[in-house]
Order: sequence, then C-alpha cells, then structure tokens
Amino acid sequence: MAANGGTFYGEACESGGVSARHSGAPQASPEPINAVVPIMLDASVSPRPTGFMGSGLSLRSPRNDGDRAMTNHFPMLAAYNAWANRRVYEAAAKLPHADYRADRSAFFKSVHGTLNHLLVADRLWMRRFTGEGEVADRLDAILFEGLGDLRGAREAEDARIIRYVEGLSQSDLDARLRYRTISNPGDVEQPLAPALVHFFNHQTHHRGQVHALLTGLVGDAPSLDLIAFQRETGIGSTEPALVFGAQTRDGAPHRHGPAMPRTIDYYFSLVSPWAFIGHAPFMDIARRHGCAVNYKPVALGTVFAQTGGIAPQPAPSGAAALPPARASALAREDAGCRSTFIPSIGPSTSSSPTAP
Amino acid sequence: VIAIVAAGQHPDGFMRRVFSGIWEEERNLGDPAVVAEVAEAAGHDPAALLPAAQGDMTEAVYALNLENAIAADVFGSPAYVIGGEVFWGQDRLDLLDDALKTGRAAYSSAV
Repeated sequence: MAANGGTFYGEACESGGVSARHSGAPQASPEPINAVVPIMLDASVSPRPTGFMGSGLSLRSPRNDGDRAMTNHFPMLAAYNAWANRRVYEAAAKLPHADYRADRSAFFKSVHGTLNHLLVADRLWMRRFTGEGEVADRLDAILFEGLGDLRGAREAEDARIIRYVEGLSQSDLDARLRYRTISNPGDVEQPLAPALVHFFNHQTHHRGQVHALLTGLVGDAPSLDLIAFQRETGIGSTEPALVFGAQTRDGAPHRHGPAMPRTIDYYFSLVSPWAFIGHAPFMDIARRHGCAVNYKPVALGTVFAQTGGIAPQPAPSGAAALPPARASALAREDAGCRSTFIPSIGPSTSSSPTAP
Repeated sequence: VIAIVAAGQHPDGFMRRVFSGIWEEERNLGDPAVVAEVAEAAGHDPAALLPAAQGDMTEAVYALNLENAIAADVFGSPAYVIGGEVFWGQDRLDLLDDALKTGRAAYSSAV
C-alpha cells in the first residue's frame, strides 16, 4: 500500500513518487480516467485494501458511518482558495520582476514557479474530477510567463472550482473516482471526497510556500489563515460577516474587478415593503455564497427624489400590495427574472417609522 | 441598524423584527419605546442602543449612505450592489444568486 500512497501524494506534490523537479524528459500524457462510479457498500468485494491509503486510518464516507453525517465543507474551501489566491497575487504583483522569478530554494524554486505549479495541479485535478479542461504534461510546467496572464487564468480556475464544488451532491462525494497518475503512471481509484480534501490541502501547502517566499523577499505577507477568511466572510459562523466603516467619502462604490467580489452593499429602507420581502432570501444568498454584507440603510424618499424614481403610493386601507409602477414594469422587461411569490401585505396606517 | 452595526453586532434579527412589526403587525416603529422593545427582543441592549441610534454618528452615516447610494446608481429600496453592479429589487435576487454562483465579472455601465 505504501507504493500506492506514494503515487497518490506524489501526484501534485513533492513528498512522494517521482520528483517533478528532477525528472528530465517531459512526462507521459496523463490520459486521466474520469469515471465516477457509486461507492461499494460491501467492503469485501472492493479491491482496495482497508484503511485510508494504507495509513490504518478508517476514513469512511458518512453513508457508511451510520447517522454521523458530516457537514460539506468543500464550498467553504473553494471560496477560501479564491480568497487566499487573490491575496497572494496582490502581494506577488508588488514584487520587482527579478524577485518574482528569483530561485529562493522553494521546491518549485520561485514565486513564479510555485504559482504556476499550483495552477498546473489544480487544472490536472479538475480534469480528473470533471473530465474537462486543459492539462500540462509536467508538474513544473510554466503555463504563463507573465504574472498578469497567470492571474487571469488563476481567477478563471478559481471561479470554475467554486462552480464545480457548489454543484456536488452527497452522492457525488460518496462516489468513487478513478484516474491515472502522471508522475508514476498507474490507475488509482478512491472516493471523491478525500481526493477533494487533498486538492484543497495541496493548494494551502504551496500557497504557504509562496507566503514564506514573500516574507523572505519583502519581510511581509498577507494573512492566509482559514480562520481569517471565516471571520472576514462569515463562512463558518452562523451569520454573514459585518462590514463596518465601508462608507466612502467620495461616494465611490467598490470598483468592479475581474471577478465578483465577495462583499455586497445592501441598501434598504425598513419602510420599504420590497426590502421586507427580500430580506430573508437575500440573507440566505449572502450566507450561502460566503459574502460579507455591508448594511446601508438609506432615506428612501430622498433617494427617489434625487434619482427620479417613483415612490410607492400608500394603499388606501392597508390591505393591498404596493407595487412601485417602475418596479413591475422593469421586472416584466427583465427576461432573466423568474417569478417570485409576493405575499399580499400592506403598511400600517398608523405607523410613522423611525429612521432605520 | 447603524447603531447596531457600529456596536459590532449583527442587525439581521433586529431587522427581521422591525420589518415584521411594520408590515405584518402594524406596530408604530416611530415610537422609541416600541423600538426599544424590538431591540431587546433581538438581543440588544436598548439603553445603549437608543442614544447611539439618535446620535450624530448615526445621522452622519445615514447621510453618507445616501451619498453612496446616489453615487452607486441606487434608486430604490432594496438594492444589492456588488462590484459596482446594482441588483435592484427583491425580484432580482435570483440574478444576484446566479452572478455569485458563476463568479462572473460584475457588469458596469462605466466606460
């Protein structure tokens, strides 16, 4: 089992199998096998030895483990990967060119080599998971010479990883993954979930090396702790993270970047019925995607007056809904909009709500 | 809400109670006593919260939010703004959800 374990971990990491760094000729094309087949409940018919990668650890899927269902942490890890990569790339972009490429004795030598390796490995695993995408033939391949191009591809890959992981069901996670190894060609079959754990652990491992390189080069590097991510985004806590003091004096909202940022400015008025209807679903969305929420109560009447909007007209008896004319018109025009159930509500005829 | 956030607390529970108070229970949320009661029910300390809510800081943040809203092309409530893209109205939440799911870049009218 040791050989098997070595092959597995040697795939995209230096700690086993054939060292990518010292392998002279290009490796054989991986030709990964991507079949995902249902896990076999009867271990006696499974060809795999007992224990997890020969370690003697029992790492069974939740379904095999009675009622002790595990929380699916993979969406959090995918969001964390994107967050941490953004931080690392921002720091790397500030390096002088020579420092970025300097061989500082990391396994993949430089910041440049390590960031490229991370993309190589992630693409390889995503090919195994999905059966799609480009793969390099060596683990030390340089996919992009320039940091700008590498960063664009990195962000696209991170968005792809998030989409993939968010689409996984429990039965997908329980299914077995078969693939062919690259450094020491052979077939491996294992449950998908631990392979995903390796995938995210591997990212953290090499990102940590970049962190060490950055620290050595400039004396400082951004915090990459998972717990820092959890505190900032609210993932891992029961409520979305707070953003306070995010008001901008010049009125400039967050500028749009290459990918969706993870902070939402939430403008609302407590006296708006539509804000009421949308509040719970919005909080669910923010929580699900790990977005931080910047609560920004606004004076409704003033916004309408200054932007040419039309305020909802009070209902005579408090029984009818208040459809702002512009809202319903726009909603109809909006082809991408799906119908949403709107309960019949009305404002209190007696209340004059306070500033929220 | 501003005072709650300023105190480093989550306003979600308070907001749900206020929304429900205004739109379902016909309560007068203009009455400080009602606000205090709702705040307490949501786990906040009304004795600390209400003076803060009526203070200058709250007024300033409220005014600044309005400036930000106008600058961000927000023209009604609710509006969810991410990366400069405005999702206006609760009936656009599906679009916000899709945008976050796909991780696409934010659309912007800025040139």
